[in-house]
Amino acid sequence: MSRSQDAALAAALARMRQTLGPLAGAGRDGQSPRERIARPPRGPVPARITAAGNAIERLFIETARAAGASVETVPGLAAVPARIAAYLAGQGLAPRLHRAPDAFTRAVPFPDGTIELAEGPLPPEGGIALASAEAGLAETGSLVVRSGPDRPLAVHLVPETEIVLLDAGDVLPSQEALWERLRRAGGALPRDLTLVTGPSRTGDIEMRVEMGAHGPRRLHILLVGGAPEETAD
Amino acid sequence: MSLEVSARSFPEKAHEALGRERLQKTLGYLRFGSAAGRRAVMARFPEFDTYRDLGKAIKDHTLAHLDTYMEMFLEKAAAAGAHVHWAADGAEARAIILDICRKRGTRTVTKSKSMVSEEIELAEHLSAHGIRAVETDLGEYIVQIRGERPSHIIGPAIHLTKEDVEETFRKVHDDLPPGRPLGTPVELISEARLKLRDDFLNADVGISGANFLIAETGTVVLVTNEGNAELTTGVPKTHIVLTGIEKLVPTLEDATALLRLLARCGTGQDLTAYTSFITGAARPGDADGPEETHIVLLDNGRSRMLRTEFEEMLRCIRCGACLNQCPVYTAVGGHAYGSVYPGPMGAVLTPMLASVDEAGHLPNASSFCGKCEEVCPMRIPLPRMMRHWREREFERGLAPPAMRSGLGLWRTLAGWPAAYRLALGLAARVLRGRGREGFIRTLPFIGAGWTEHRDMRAPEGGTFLAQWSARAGRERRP
Ligand code: SF4
Repeated sequence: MSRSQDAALAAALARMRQTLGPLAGAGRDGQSPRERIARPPRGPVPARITAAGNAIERLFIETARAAGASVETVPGLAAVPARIAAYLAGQGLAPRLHRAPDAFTRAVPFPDGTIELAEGPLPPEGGIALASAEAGLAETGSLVVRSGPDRPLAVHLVPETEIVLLDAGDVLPSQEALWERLRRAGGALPRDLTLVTGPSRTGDIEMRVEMGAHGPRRLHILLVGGAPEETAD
Repeated sequence: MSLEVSARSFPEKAHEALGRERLQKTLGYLRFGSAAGRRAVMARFPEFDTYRDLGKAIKDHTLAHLDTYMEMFLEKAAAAGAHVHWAADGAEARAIILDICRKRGTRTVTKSKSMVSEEIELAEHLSAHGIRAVETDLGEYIVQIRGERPSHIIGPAIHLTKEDVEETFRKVHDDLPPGRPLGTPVELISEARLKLRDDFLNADVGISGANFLIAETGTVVLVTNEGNAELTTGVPKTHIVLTGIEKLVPTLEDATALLRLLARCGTGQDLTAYTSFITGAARPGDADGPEETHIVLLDNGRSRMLRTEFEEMLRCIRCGACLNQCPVYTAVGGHAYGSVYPGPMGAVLTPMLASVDEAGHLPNASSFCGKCEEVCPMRIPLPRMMRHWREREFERGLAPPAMRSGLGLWRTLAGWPAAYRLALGLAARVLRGRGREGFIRTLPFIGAGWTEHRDMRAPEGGTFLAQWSARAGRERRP
């Protein structure tokens, strides 16, 4: 901020203070801002989370599908290559994957020659990406992705089709649990933390929702280590 | 004026079909926030009303301590590596942003939808100084290449049919084969996606707004459905956030509480497809992200709303619900207001941001039916505030004589729905006779003050309410 901006800001803050009145320890409305930051109050837990009880994995599958993603559970990383091959064949897509550089994604044991793998920046026209998510949020079916040294954000935005690995143990009930986890880990946020809820979409032409605006048209989630879905209750 | 651009896109031979087309568009508006859609959303989120109270309480508390939370935010954002700037008005914000762009030798800027940048006419300012500013939200892109302004705060191109978009794309994208198929929304979206890819990957600067600013962490929260905000903020070397001070909330949990309301009221989703929490610039070693992040905090009349009868307007989270449910907005469309922020929220906010002399006619574009307040997730008493404006306007003797006599009539009619509908029906018939090419330059009696400022679209056959019930009746019959 330049010095003149600094002075203008100080003057604006002083004017605001005059309008709002003196700030006592307990806050102008009986709630102190410092206290709120130190112990952030939470809103009531949405009924859909309470109702899910321990079955938040199932709630996640349901909400992610409602948001337009496809989801399947896989017992472990070893089963991933075959599932991906089957998914791509089912969608009529060529077996060419662009692999994100994070450790979880790189741990998928692709047998030689079945799927063509590429790394580095994605082609501008999109392609198919394989990446992993930090966490999942059952309330909304969101994937939590973040920026970092081995985590290019573009991997979640540029492809036409994105396949995402999510460890079933990382499914959290809601954003509040994510904030709690972040604070426990020291509280520092990455530059970008994005909640991805279903594929990219737009309703800008005649209010009809179509998938694949600027981001992926298809979002396929592999819930690794997730309990197999039962066909009936 | 932009309205004339859209007027030209109405082919004369379609005059007969205009009634149907107009109704079609109106239904488009309603599809956005239909009562059935709202009911479905509420059924999936029974806590809705509890969260409305909570949302109101969060914003009221924040506004009571706006100075404190602003300072906290600025400190935290700077600590995370962002450069923070203060702009008292639009001119200052434009100068700050132009200066950053020039220092970085900027030729192309990508923009993700930001109503604040519309408010200060940023894209025009950059263009005037030789910097190409490309809107990347599909709706914004469409209205930009048509030389128009957004007609809705959530759906900027809501006033256009897919045929309008096709015609525009064929004209503007003249490097593509003329015979290409462009008849479906999917084809149009794919073409825009392809066209904008280059700009996304090659822009020097990305400019975004903010939906929330979190004081606790110095974080900027952005929501989109297309993914364009993430491409705008994450790919170029420089990211500039331009936002109003009323976007502040204390904590991450507070942002979460408001996010539970925003998409549900805006588009009927639980959450938008992309919700980004951006904190500072890229960290050393990050695989991508901007080297430099700037946050421009804009006042532009907002702080003088504190502790006035308009303070509650600062709770607005720009969800658009009050537009979608407003009978005046859905009948005349967003352009008729001639202001950046249309509908009930715009009628209250715009005079505060500009000067009442310029935008004083807006609060009169209301039927005072109360629907807006009923649906507002932040429980903002919009009709009451519109009345405040009108009173102020009267006190200052600003209302032109025609407006003053017209207002008395509005007031009587607004309090008496049957008469209101009857008068509106009569007016519609009068207006049909007067509309040349579907547009009306002068309204008789009540509207005279209004059309001095705006062209008003001619109603096509009966009032909207009448057409709606006629249609509903038809659909009910087997
Ligand atoms: S005034 Fe209320 S309903 Fe209208 S945009 Fe703002 S928050 Fe939404």
